[in-house]
Amino acid sequence: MTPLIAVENASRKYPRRANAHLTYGITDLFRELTGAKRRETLRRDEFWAVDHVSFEVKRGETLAFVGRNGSGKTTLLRMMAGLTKPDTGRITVRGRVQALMNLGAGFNMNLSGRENIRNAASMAGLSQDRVKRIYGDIVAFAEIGDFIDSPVGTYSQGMKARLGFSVAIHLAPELLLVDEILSVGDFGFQRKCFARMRRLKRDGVTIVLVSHNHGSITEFCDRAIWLDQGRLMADGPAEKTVRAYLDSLMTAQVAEQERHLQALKAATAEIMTHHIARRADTRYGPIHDEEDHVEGVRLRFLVNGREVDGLRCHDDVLLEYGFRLKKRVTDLNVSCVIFTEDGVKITAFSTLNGDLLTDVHEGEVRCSVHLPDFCLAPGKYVLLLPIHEGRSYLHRNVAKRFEVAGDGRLYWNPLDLRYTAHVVADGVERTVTYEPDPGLPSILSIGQVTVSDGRLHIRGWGLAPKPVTRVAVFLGDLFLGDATRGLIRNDVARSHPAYMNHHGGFEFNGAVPDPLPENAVLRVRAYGGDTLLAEQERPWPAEVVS
Amino acid sequence: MPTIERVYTAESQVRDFSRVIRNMAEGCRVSPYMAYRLCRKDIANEYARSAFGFLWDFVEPFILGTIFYYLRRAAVVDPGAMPMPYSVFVIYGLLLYQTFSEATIQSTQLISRSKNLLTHVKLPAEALIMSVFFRVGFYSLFRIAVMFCFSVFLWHAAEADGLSSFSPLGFVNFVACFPLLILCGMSIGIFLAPFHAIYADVGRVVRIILMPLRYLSPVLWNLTGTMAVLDRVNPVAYMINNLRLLATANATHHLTGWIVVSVASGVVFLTGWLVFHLAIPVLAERA
Repeated sequence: MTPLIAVENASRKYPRRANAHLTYGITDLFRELTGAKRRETLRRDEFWAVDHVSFEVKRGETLAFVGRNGSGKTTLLRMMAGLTKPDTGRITVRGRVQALMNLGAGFNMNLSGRENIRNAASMAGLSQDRVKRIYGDIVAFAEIGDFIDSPVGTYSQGMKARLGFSVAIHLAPELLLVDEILSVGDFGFQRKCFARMRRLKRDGVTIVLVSHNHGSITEFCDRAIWLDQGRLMADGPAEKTVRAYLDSLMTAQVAEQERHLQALKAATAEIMTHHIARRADTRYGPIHDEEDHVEGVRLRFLVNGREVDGLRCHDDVLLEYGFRLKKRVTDLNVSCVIFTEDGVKITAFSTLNGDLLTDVHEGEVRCSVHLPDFCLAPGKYVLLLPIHEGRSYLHRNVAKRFEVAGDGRLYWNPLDLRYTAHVVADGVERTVTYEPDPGLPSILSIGQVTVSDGRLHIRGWGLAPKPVTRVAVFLGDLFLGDATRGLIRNDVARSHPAYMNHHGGFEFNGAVPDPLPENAVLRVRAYGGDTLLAEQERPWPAEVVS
Repeated sequence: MPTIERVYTAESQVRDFSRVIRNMAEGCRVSPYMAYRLCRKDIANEYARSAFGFLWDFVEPFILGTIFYYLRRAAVVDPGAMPMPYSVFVIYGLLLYQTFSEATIQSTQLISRSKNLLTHVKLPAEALIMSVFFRVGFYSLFRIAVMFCFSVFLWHAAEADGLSSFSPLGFVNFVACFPLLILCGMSIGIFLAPFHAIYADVGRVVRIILMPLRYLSPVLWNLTGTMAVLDRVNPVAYMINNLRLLATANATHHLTGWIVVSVASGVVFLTGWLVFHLAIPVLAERA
């Protein structure tokens, strides 16, 4: 059976630039007039809108073109309608063609619907008599009513669409080419259009349409062709082709979103890079770094009379700061506010206490603060120096970023306080003053001592700021043996992180020496390696002696 | 009904010249009603928002004619000796030139003006050409009527002065030959239309040439002396002089030259038509 449409290797190219358009236009015109062969390759700045496409359409078939915008659907349709000349290949169309490239194409907005129907029908090649015969049907289908004698310019988009479609379908075409036009108009009109096209289809009219309404395509069309960048990607049953197209669209969208996300990340990273310092500052409250009122702000730490950048926990620190007031200020006060680097406020001390600076009005201001026990735990800190006039900030900015070094111990909190602990355990009272490193105490306590069946049994506990490797028991200078560890009594140790993992109980069980030395004193010594950490004495139990 | 088969290829239509001729003939067959509707559409569109419609077309020649009439009476201009009243000379000259000018410009702009239509509807080139002919012809009917009225109104007065402003037989001949003037204008315009569709400069050049040409043609005066040579090389001069003489005195002026110009116009028109026909598929979407 001879196909109604045969598209053989058809291509169409367009230039991207308007100027090239003019040059190529005149070249193409001369080639056409002189009979010269057309160039079948791309010229500079040209692209294939339709790229060597071949297919056939049988009589009575309904075919849809699907693809993204700019994929060449309309150009191909236009070539089939004879509105655009192909640059390569050949298109054969057998039968009366009606192209619906634009609903209301050729309509004149100043003329009435009646006049436009006659014009449109005549331009489709219908004779005057034929136009008269179908006029009534066209008006009836269009449902324009009394507006038929009003200028088309006063019609709504839907009315124009109805009129245009009505004219097209009443011209009795054998081949109806429909561009993406049925999206115009209301849902009812679209249903009516498709219903009418189904009737045309039943009557054997071949319909080729371009649409983005994939539901309608799969429902209405027998077959679909998927075009992408002018190339034929798939040609087959409508549902299968549309599904393949939509799958590719989804893949492309995911890739596009991924690209977009990457671009967004890159942009965000750039913004972060540019503003990270500013953002960090906002962790410490408002920043007023302008120098309208104050200039030359400086701050330093002195330890043992020497300026230092970093501190050690419990250093004796002299903090000095200074600045110059550029104009007269009353009610001046300055604070030193210390934050952890991540923005937790630790402490502040201000000249408000004692009204130290209230009377200062202008010029150079210097201040030093003695901190005999700088008890910040190891970590990174930020010191802000807010300079106020009353409640208003004259200046508030980061004056110093500094680090406090530790001694290898673990710290959970930003402050490392000195303390004295009073301990009562096993009937024994102990008072412990915590002197942080380097004088951190090692404590050893002898608890219960019993002698039974010639055996000496001692239980006790201890804690130390470093690992205890050995607990030795002596009677006078006589070494009795090493204690075994295992009895945990860490309620005191638990209160201070310095003793973490270096506390616990001990237990000794050994033979009582015979003979028992006179005035014997029981000594228990705790060692960290070869270092004696702590020692505890206890007189030999009297009852035992006796 | 026989099946219509259309073949669109990349090859130039010229390679199958007989097919081109057949298509042109087919275009002539199917185009008259189309051209009539296009013409109606264009005219209705042009004057859709005008109270006086095409009467405005007579304002310019009327004003210009009046000015020159009084300039001549005041002896400011000397149009030279003529066998008809000066007012008849001027009004014929202006309206005939206006017809020629209109035919030229309308044809030159034909593709570019029809761009919207050509991109959506496959129209025969012949329908477009005919529509211009119908349109210029339609306006010409009113111009002919005006010229007729002028001639008849001054008929007896002119005869009293030994001049001739109207010849009944001559006027019939005038009307019969009037399409030659339209043909002359259209032949130039149709030939240039494809080039104007690509380069709008072509249309501007045509307008620029037509404006001074009015004064270098026997529209407002007879060119005398050394300028008379322009009459010999200006095809419009043959058209205007002969048509004017035909209407007023049933006479001709350099008949051979007029025949040559008419035949040349016909040849140029046919060539222009062929070019136009071939160019439409190439230029339809570029205009």
